Amino acid sequence: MSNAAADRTKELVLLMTQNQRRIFSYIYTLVPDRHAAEDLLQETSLVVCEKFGDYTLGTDFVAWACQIAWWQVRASRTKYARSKVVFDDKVLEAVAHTAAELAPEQDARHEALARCLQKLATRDRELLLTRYESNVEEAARRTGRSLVAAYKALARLRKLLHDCVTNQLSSEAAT
Amino acid sequence: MNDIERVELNELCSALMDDTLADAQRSRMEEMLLASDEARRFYVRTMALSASLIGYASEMQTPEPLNIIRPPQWRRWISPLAAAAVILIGVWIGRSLMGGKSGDAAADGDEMVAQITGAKDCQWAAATPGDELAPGQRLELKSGFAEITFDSGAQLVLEGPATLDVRSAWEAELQRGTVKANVPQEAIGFTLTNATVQVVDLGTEFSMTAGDDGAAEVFVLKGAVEVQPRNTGHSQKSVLREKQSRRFAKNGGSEVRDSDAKFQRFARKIAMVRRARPMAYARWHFDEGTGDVAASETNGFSAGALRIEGSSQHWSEGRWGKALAFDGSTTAKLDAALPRGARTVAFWTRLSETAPTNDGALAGVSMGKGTFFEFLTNTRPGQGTPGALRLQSGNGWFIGSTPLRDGRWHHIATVFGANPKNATKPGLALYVDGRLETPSGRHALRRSDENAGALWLGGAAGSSERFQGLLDEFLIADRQLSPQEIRHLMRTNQLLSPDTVAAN
Repeated sequence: MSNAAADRTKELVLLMTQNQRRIFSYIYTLVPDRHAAEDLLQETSLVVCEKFGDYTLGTDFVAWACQIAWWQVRASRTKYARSKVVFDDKVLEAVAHTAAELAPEQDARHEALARCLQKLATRDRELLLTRYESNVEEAARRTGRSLVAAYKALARLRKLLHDCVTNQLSSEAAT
Repeated sequence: MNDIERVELNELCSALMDDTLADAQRSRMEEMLLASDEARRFYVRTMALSASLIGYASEMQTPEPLNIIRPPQWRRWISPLAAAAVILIGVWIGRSLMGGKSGDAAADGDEMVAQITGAKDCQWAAATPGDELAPGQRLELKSGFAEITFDSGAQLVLEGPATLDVRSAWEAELQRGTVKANVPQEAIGFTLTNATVQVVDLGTEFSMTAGDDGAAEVFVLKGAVEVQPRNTGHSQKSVLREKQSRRFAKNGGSEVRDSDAKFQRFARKIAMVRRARPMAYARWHFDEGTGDVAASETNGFSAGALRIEGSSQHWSEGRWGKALAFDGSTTAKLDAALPRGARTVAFWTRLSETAPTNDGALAGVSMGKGTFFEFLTNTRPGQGTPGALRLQSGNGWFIGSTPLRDGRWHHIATVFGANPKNATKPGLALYVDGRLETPSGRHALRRSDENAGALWLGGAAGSSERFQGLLDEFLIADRQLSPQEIRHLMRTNQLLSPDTVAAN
């Protein structure tokens, strides 16, 4: 293995490790099922490895990888009978376009979210994190809520966090 | 979109994610998303928020750092790096000990690269090995189980009778017997070899058994590994995935016999006995947000509040709560000397891309037995990666490989080890964002008695250069933190209690 090839591989590993969360976020936006999105991320990563020769260092890696992810998402619908892609092509395309457009702000939103999470009441935070760690049933049980109440609370908390993140960023921009 | 539509779309998004979306609702959602750019933006941000929550939830969940049966799901994410990781191994040397002379790489063999962290009914064939393991060390287990944690974070459970050679923080060779490997994301690239095959872990769990005939069998329990046969004409690399297995002999690869039964055997959980490792520590959370004093939280390590000097604007939003902001005039220091040197120093830092590149030190800490370290970012390209963390002691230095000036928070942990072969040379491991760093440069670090007991932040009293950036959650501890403990601290901002470590 030449030094140049070893350097190239090091670049690839570094880029993937640094950016997998961003790529996952893009895929999840198109396929909002955690396990399906993780599988698609795996497939995308394999293609990224194969095609890394086509990537020009210094250009936007996330944009390049998301392009690959986009085709994996499209292909998954025809490949699997029980595809988790819920929207029709026209909607999917429009959403993908917006997701690519908003990609640059995602890091700031991700970090602001950590601060917003800290502001939640403990019971609410537990509900939310348990929901994402396991499932809604478990989250309801652990926080002493009925299932219906848990679904309602989740929708409310997501909206609350959405607004909190937006406020944090606009107040940061103002200072 | 008006407020009512916003609430409606939010509920639709939640129904979609929680899998309760009815067909009519889906049509309505599609209609909204097609009609308005604002609706699409709302949708994308809500989904991205959920994706972030998935990440945060797996980071904050109750830790099972020493449980080798169920690693968190997110470790799988990285696994498909396939052919990539293997080539890195040649570059990674693992934790380094600083040589006495410039570029003295021969000293690598003196350092410790792994520890025995657990055992069950363990009987050693030859001498009982010490708790800390050096490269080249051979472990001969007669019977029972031994758990070995490498500095990279990879964890092996060896089942006797077995012989294993420790090569580095990133590599081991199984001569015979059975080993089960659990490799977290930060230790991707960890390699387990045998006479017939090389297995590179891509962030997963696998087992390997090696028979006396030299053949080896590889079983992937979770994720994927890359396997490459050795000593055969066609040593083509391939990827083995979850629940796949393969036998490698001198004359080539074949199917594993009784594979199902063997998989079942590897799924067993071994209840390891682990020694409790009490720890004294002091932490500064920097959550005051006002005033000139940063209070400490201590546990058996008496270190008081830090007194802050310089400009009056020295607080900022932090990685956790507030942080201490250094604008080029701020410094902070302890009034009284530390009772003893730190063995682990950990903190978060954020440096902007435009911060001036000077030799203003983030911190100066008395570590180990009287060795004083300054933490800086490297400004000398000839000595190592520019912008990476630089540890300076006297005329010696140790430079990491990850540039830090990118406007993001980075978690830094420095573990100061013993060096049984040469007491005048300290052993050192640096973790950036939980991953063990290969130094990009190092030179002649030695123990010395200067500044014993000192701890300051932002710049040395005798120097006019000052650090510019943010510091948060500064911790010193009186023992070495394990790679698992460092990852846990990074993800949750909490220390694993000794009970948790011992009980697992």
